[in-house]
Amino acid sequence: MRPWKVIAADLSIGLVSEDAVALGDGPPQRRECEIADLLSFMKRAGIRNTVWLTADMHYTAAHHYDPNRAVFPEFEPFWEFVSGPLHAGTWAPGDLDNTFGPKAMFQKGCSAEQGENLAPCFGLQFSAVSISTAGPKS
Amino acid sequence: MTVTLKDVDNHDLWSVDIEPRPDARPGQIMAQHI
Repeated sequence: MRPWKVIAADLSIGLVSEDAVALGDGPPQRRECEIADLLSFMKRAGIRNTVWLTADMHYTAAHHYDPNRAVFPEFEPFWEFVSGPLHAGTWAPGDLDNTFGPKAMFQKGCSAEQGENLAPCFGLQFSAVSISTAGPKS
Repeated sequence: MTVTLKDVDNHDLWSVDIEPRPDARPGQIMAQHI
């Protein structure tokens, strides 16, 4: 049995960006409606335990989505892990959109003191997520 | 299941152990790229 379903998608779901799904607080609109349709379908179909891997926000983060925090609550809770691109300017963590109720459990990017679009030579490059069923050090 | 975020030098940045919710339907591998 495989209780987890790992979904790879390039665009983050809850980070507000013109390059992502989230467009701002409130009910789903425009491209957010596609995610709302998909999430509500998975709930109706009994598809639980999904993990989303998304990218291209120029920092790394772990988000937990909970319908109890969401404006659109018709979905099962899920995790999203954001990482990448492989080699690009580093950004600071962005704003989260309450449409699907994300909460940042971890985030790492450049600080306000370092400034936006930090060069790769500063060592804040993120591109990998490991998944293990045998513990964190395996 | 343990998920670990890493940097490009493969250093672990943060890990989380997540437990599946009960009554989940078994998943199927729909696509896999290596």
